[in-house]
Amino acid sequence: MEFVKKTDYDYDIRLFKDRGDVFWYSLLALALVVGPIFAPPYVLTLGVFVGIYVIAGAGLMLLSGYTGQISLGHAAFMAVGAYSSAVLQKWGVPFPLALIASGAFAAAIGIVVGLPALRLHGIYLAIATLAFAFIIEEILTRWEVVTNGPSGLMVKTMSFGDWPARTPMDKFYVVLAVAILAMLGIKNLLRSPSGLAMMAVRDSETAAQAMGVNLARTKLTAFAVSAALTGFAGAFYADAIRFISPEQFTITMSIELLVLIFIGGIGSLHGVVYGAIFVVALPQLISQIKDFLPSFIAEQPGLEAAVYGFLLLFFIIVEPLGIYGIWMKIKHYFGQFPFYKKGELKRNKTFAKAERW
Amino acid sequence: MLAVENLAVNFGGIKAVDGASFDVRRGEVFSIIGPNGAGKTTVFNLISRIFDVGAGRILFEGADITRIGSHQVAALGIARTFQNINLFENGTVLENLMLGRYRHDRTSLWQQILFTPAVHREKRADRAKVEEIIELLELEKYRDSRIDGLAYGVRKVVEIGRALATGPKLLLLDEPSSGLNNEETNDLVFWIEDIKTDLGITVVMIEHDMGLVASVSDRVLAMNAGRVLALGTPAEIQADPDVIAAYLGD
Amino acid sequence: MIIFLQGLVSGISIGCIYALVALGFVLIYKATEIVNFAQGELMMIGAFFAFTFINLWHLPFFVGVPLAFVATAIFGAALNHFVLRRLIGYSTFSIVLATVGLATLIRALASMVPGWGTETHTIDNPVAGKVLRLAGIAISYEHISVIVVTIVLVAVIYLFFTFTRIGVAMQATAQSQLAAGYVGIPVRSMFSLVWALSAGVACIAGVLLAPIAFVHVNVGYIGLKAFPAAVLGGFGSIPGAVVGGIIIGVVEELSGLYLPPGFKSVAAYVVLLLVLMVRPQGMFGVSLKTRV
Repeated sequence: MEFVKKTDYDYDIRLFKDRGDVFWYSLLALALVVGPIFAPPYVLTLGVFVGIYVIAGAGLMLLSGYTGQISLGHAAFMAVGAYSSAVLQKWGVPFPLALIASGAFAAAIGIVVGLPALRLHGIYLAIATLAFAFIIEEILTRWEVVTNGPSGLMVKTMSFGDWPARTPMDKFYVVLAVAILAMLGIKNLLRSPSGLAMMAVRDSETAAQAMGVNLARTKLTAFAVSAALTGFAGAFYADAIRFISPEQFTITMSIELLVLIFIGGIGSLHGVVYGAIFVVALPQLISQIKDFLPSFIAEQPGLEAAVYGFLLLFFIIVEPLGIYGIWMKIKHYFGQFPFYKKGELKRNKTFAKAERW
Repeated sequence: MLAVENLAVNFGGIKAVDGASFDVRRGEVFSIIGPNGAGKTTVFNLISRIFDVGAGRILFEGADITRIGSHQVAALGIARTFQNINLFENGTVLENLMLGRYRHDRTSLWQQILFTPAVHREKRADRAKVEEIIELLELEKYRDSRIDGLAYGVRKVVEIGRALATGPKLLLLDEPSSGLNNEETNDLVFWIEDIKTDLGITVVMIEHDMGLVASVSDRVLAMNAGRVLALGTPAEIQADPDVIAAYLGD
Repeated sequence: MIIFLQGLVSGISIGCIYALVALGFVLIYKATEIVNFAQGELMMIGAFFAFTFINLWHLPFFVGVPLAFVATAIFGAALNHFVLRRLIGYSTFSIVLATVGLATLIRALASMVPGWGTETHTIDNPVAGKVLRLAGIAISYEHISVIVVTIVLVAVIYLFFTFTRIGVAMQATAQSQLAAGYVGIPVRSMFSLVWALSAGVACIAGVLLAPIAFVHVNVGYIGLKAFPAAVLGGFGSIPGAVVGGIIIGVVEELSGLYLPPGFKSVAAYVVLLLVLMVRPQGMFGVSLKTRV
């Protein structure tokens, strides 16, 4: 059993709580820095996508998981980021600047979406975000002068000054660095007043206002930061797949992002990483398993989607806390061992307040 | 300190508050009593600017606050608790209390993302203040407990704590003793006295428990059907015939 | 002028289909507070059932369609019984994701059914190709039948809810599950019944849609237009859903005719955003406030 003896307030404020934390995270950092040298390019490319989805997922988690604003159309911010980066680079802007601009443009769009959303809640908010996503997608399709419309756009390889990040390993390190910075930034935000304010807005708008939280400013900040992060992810996405077109950023991608934060574990930043790994690894796993399945199942084009849908339902009904929740339960069990009592972790039946009587 | 003049508001034809006027003096404990539906909580909601005023004015320390935004009330030094408890269910007691300090925090978004030493200092200062309240209300063993697992009585205390954390000059308590047993209500008496004398906070309290009202209040306001019935000391109110007819019974 | 009238008729016709999908959607929402993102997929399954009975098994049209209605209704009730029932009380977010997941699963499984697959199909219907000429406009019989069927169906549903015991019981369950339970209404069965009815209506929508959008596993995406319709009409209002659907259909068609390309695809969503900003409770909805 673990006892924590706290001796000063800094314990609760610090990022790394104790020696144990520092040890494990250092090990992880070592693995991430040294590992890529030995990894095959195929794995590194997957790693790049995991990093991209971690950045985008962190953005969505901030908005929907922590501030409680459901966003069904987050792919739109990916698209804005991807197209900003691709178009600016086409016009000769160096990548680092294009990257920052992608985030800035996405943040601006985030505020545009957030403004009408200020007065909307629950399902209305969700549907509004969906509507915005459709409209943004259509604008990108029709604005052919800039985006080349449905024919799509080739994307230049990202480069920093004279150094092009061409190989999977190069790309991996770049995305890794940005992903770590993004996660740190969000973690910092969440343990500061603004982050607490966002969670307050999620749990009770009235009480938050009574504490002096400016709802409009908090929600718009969440939209802007969330969109900016997703925009960055979009820029890297464009670089990774080399060719973008509007039909890649549809509701399917938005759903992928939502699945990411849900299955990873809503309300936990670790969940973003688990979710990103899940979303990127699942199609790979399925193609591996195909060899072991009877042919009439294996050859179905809908197999992946079927597994996806099924797993989503499964997690929602059985483990709404996601992979992070499962991990916490395992840790708890071993932490309590051998005193674990059956039923200790059984979820209490909760009854959400009905909207109407 | 607080003055309410001819306050009125309608909800779809029902006059929830119909021309109420009263004033609250600095440093006193002022109770509002009345039957259900008298408009007591509505008055609170008007003062803390959750509802818009139909007619009349609200003055706080001389300034007209009738039309300010509801998030600006805390900065002025007015804090409140809610009749049906409005805590942040997904947070811990500590997080709820720390949120109470929000109006004192001055760091910018960028400073917070980078978690500069200024943010660090602010957090430590907030934590020190919150610990004082935890000590006053004896919430030590609940610090890291999630709200949604706590008993009703504890939640009520956390609500009061969170309101105190904002560092108010005026505290509005909406039925603080409802749902509490005798022992918890006795604690409440001590806490309200401490809040008044040690912390120097003016308290306005909506209450049904006449025992509690009589033991802590300096003055009592009786309301019925959105209007003021009587205003005076607890003894005067308990003897007032209109109040007895409308509310206290024989 | 003629173009306008033809556009109007097309718009009303597709609007009727949106109305039916929105109707099914609102029925479920009113009764269970579940926002069913899989409503479009129910429509798709209904169309496929009809396709199977009529085109593959060669049953006559007016046998195949009622059969498909029943099959889809059973499918809807089964969905409720095995999956959706477990979601009651969960947060909006979870329910939205769950029905989205369900939609994905249904779409994928449908593509695996032998005979359905990923190709586009049609349903042989008795009015294909026939056209009515009225005052210079050509109105296809298919458009006419959509409008007529929708009117009849909505009328039947109205009568059902107002005058039959079960209908009144369903209304009661929608307004307060607790109270309905106390007076002896089997609430769980009511839920299954609502899903069955909603799925059946979706099936009819799918059959009516077949001449326009054909039968294909992705047809469900059209069902997303049910949201703007439901919001426009006022979430939770059945007449609202119908009126909302028709308005969306007309606005869409006319946008296609008179506005630059691209506006037609987003017309419904622009209307949605306008409604949410100006009058969030829609045309017939009631704005609710919670007590603090």
